[in-house]
Amino acid sequence: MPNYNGCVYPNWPLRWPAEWRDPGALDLVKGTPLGCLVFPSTEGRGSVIERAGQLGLPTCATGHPPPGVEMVKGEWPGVRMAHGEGDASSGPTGAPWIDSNGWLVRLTHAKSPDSTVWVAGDPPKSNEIVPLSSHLVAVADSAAHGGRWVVTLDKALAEGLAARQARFVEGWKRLMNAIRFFESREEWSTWPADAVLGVVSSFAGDNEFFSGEVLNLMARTNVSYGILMKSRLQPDALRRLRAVLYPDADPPAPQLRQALLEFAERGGLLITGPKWGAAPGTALPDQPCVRYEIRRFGRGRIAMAYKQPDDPYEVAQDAQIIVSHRYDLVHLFNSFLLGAYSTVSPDRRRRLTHVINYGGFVGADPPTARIAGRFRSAKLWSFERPQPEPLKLAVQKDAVEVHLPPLAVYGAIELEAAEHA
Amino acid sequence: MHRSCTRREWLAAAAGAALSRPFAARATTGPAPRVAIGKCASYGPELLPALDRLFDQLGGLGRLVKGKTVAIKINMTGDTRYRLGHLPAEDTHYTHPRVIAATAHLLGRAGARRVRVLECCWSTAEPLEEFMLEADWEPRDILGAAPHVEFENTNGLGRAKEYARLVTPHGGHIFRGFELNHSYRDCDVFVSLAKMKDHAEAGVTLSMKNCFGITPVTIYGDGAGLDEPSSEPHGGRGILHDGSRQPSKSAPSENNPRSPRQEGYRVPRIVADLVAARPIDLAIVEAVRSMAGGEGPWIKPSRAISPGVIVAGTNCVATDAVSMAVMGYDPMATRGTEPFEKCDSTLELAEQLGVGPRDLGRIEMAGTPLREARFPFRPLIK
Repeated sequence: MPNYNGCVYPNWPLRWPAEWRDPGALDLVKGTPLGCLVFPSTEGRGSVIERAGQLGLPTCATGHPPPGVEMVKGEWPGVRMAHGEGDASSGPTGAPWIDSNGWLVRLTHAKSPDSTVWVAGDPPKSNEIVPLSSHLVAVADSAAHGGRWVVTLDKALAEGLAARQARFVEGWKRLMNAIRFFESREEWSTWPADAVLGVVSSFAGDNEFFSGEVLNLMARTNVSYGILMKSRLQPDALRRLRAVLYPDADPPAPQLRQALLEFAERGGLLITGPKWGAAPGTALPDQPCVRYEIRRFGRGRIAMAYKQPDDPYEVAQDAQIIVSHRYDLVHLFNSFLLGAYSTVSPDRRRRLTHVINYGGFVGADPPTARIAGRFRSAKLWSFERPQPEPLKLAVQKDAVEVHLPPLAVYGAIELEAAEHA
Repeated sequence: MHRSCTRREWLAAAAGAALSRPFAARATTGPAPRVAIGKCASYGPELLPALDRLFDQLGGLGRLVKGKTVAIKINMTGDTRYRLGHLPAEDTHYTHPRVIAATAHLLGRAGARRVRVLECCWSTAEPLEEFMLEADWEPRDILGAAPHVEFENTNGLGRAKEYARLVTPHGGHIFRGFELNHSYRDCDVFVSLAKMKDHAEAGVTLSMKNCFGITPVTIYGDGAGLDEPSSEPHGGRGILHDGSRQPSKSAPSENNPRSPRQEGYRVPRIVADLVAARPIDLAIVEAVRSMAGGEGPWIKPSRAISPGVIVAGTNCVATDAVSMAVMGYDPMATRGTEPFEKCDSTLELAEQLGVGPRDLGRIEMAGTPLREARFPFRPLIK
């Protein structure tokens, strides 16, 4: 029997909703890009699993994904408000806190480069109202970073779909269209991060939590970071970076130490803590960060923390200051609910900046993106339009500015590099 | 140098404060302060000569700044990510960096020994240079505008080991003193370089209201420590706005914690106290481009405008009075009348503290005649 959905295996997963007891619900999956059904429990689902098998739809249990898939536990991406002046009439509002699984997808890829990464969040509570935008944001957040969200329906959507209620069916179509959008641009998921700073760590053992949290919190800064596994670091991986952060509590092996020191000596910036050992070079007169001493070393610098950092938030924030906003790849304005992730094509001719609206609603003022680099054209891809929308470039010194339309959930700015850029 | 006080002086001032309330208006005596108005249509080449002319009309900068350390409080209110539409912040609610650079240049040319550019950067301890880069400014343009230009983010301790305590003369309306970043004490000349804007809580924000932002949120912010200042600045100054709690105990508390907790009562009084405690030696209010309707894009409705005017003076109350007149408001307005529909007049309160006059009849105006500079803000948002 041909694949029920005509899709390539393994494909986008769907957590089979508890509300779908009848095998007839499999009709809802027909013709969608959903290619694997994930069952939290097989109890009482025998007939559904049997029918799925007859239709050629793969199934698996939570925690036992198909071969070639790494399934990680994530969270529903979105926005939490931080403390601040919440009353818009009394001043600028407090900074929102964005939850994203992007770092987790990227870290899992870095650990298992040949695997597909599935991100599973807990199902919403039965009384929780989940807007469609939350589902769309969850899909976009994972996919923009190269992974796949395990589609997890809330109770109302699952029941509404089972009853074939029009508004839920319409929402379902939009959700499937969002997945198709990324499926048809699968090439994008292979583009590497356009990184300014590399985080070098084992990301395992005693370093696992700390270095993972550094990545999570780094994503909330404007530093575009790359993930470098220290066990297989190749010197070439440092070539395009401006800075390297070594957050591990154990000193690097001699070969790695040598590679990172050479990186600094040639003009790079090495950021680390005292567990590294004595830092060569001479202290600079101007110190931009109170927790670090910056030392000139060759043509570059070494930023050595006065004491071994124990707060990943501070590490991420301090790295941003030490590297400097001067080297931010993207500045988004009117962007309090937006997150950006920039990748570059293998030939470096095209830059892609994924912009995700984690709030799922449009603000009063439209966003603007300032993107470092020299480009000759820009276009905006979005779920809503089959064709990209050309964007007018306002050229600045070593950057361009593009005025974006309001983005309800997601847009991808694709930029073509100028000749001799 | 504007000096901090001894403990003895502090106690005397506090006792004086208790005796002096409620305030009787304190006469501002002496010659009428001069305020200069200049037209300037853009931030291009015409800006520098326009500012130069303004300062000449005030008697020249040399007598004020030669051989001295000059601190400039600029206005970069709120998060750098806010824009009104797609417009850069400096075209609407931030002091324009070219005005900052031109002012620094003219101060340097007039012999200032050192120019220090100051701002309490929104919710961060990062250097002011970094905050400017986030706003897409090039800080080197300002640093290179005069021989010795420095930056400091004054939202915390900055480069000092302790906060500077400045006393409000006559006890103040709400605070008899403040604990501030050292930069506001360690300067000979203090310049408030403000943007001419409406303000949701204070009616207008001009050279005086700009100084609301000299208070470090480590002490006066929502995240301030209860006993001691917090080590890092987080969030805004909600506690100054609504009085929901006192500043860190290490700083002077309110004279009367039972006074109204209403923003329209508190903000103008605190501003008046601040400019009395940290006098402004040179007030510059720029509105080459600005916004009407509020102090930032978070206030709606609001719109971008191009008044093409700059106002400067050596008395901040007088300068703000002329600026209000340029905006189409009556500087003698009181609570309940435009633009102070929901608040008291900062100008009136500062006048009561003896900071300066707001009556245009007691102010000597120079430069462009007021009628030619007038650019009424309010009709633009009605």
